[in-house]
Amino acid sequence: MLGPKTNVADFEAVALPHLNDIFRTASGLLCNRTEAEDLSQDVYMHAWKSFHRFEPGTNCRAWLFKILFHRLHHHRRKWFQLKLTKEADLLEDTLQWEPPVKEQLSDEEILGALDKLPEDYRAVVLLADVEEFSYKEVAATLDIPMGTVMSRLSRARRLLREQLRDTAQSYGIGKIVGGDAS
Amino acid sequence: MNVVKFPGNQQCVKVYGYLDSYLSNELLVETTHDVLRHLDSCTECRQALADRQKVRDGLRRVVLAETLPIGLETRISAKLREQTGTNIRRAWFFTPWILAAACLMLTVAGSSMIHRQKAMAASQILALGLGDHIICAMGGHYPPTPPDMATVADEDNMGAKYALLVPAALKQLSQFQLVEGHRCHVGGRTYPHVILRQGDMLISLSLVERKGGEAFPQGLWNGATKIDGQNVFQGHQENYSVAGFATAKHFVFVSSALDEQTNFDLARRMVPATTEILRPIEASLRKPVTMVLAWLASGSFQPEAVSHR
Ligand SMILES: [Zn+2]
Ligand SMILES: [Zn+2]
Ligand SMILES: [Zn+2]
Repeated sequence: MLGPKTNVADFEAVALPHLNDIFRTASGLLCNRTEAEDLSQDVYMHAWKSFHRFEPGTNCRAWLFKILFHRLHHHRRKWFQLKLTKEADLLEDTLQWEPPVKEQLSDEEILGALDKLPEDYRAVVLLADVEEFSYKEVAATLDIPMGTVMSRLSRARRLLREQLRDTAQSYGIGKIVGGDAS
Repeated sequence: MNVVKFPGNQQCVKVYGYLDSYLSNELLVETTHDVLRHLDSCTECRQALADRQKVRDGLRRVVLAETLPIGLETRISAKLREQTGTNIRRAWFFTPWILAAACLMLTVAGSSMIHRQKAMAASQILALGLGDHIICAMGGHYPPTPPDMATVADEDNMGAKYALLVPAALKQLSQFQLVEGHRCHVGGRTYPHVILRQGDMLISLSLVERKGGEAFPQGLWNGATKIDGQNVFQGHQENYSVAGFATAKHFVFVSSALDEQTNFDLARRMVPATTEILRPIEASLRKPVTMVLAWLASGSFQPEAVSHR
């Protein structure tokens, strides 16, 4: 037969529109386009194998992201092995006033800051702040509790700001302290 | 760490802790009002909020600007088909077509160097057409005898609107015979697809709708050749050649294993007729349906059975 779609074509019609999202997240996670491409291909091969378990009408994008992190875990065992046992040491959670961020943020500066984030934090901030998944969806995708999602997210955002701080201005501390007290 | 001490104001301490949640729209209405009231009067918290927004926006901007590697969709399509054995029926040739599709990396004259990564490279677009040719036509996705025109015009195949491409192709490229006219699905896109042959040489005339923002590179040194006011791009990959151009809503491709110049000449001959046929389709007129019906009724089309030489 010619016209009718094959199963592969059905799968492609449902899954390939999300390739862009999968690839850019893989690229953000691995900071490497070639590895991101391999990982994306692998995600689609595995998604195809389990396509029979996918329920039409459910969230295909979330399903693919879940597979992305499964495959990432498989590919680079070390990726998540760098467990943040000292997560608490990394940043104090007490509220602290931060110096301002640079006036202009270049693409390179932002990518550099993302690159310096611990991987677990990078995953959360990419899923929540870029791909706009809910906390619940992020928790399901990464298989971690909601509370962990939220604390990692706020730390990730703070670490990013720290990397992008305006070093010139941070010397003018006196200007800020007590500034609101007037 | 270079952290600044918190200002004494208790309102600041409270609001400062809410800024991220405020940005994400997670606060109760009442708390939002409190935050807004404080922001009105506090420069420091306003600055802190602006910083958070700036970093989030910047991150989105940078990550969302990441573009797909050239031909990745096609490579995935080829791998999927390789895994499932789809399309490997009746292959006429022992061409390692899967391999060709899997390494689809086109060489295109000129353009790429002057275009930044964010602009869609010509090769990326040409890869769509060549990918369809390799996966569908070279994959043997067609019947042993050519369909009659009514079958081609069937909505399950090319559909009446696009079926006019078949007589146009047979007229312009008169040395070729019809193999198949259908719509196929590769890489998540649908291609109205005419396959012709001369002996064992297959050529594809295929088209695909442009998605938002997809366009060939513009500008003087884009590497294209002007034919009938159209920029026609060409490229090759191993043994395959492809040439393509854009109409208002479609990319049109001619692909084959002919040398690049010969393949390009075939595309050149298809430019005026294809543009003409697509114009009313793209303007969503109903005219082509009646045209094809009239043409069918005239009985000027006699399908020939494919004969191997
Ligand atoms: Zn304040
Ligand atoms: Zn086809
Ligand atoms: Zn087909």
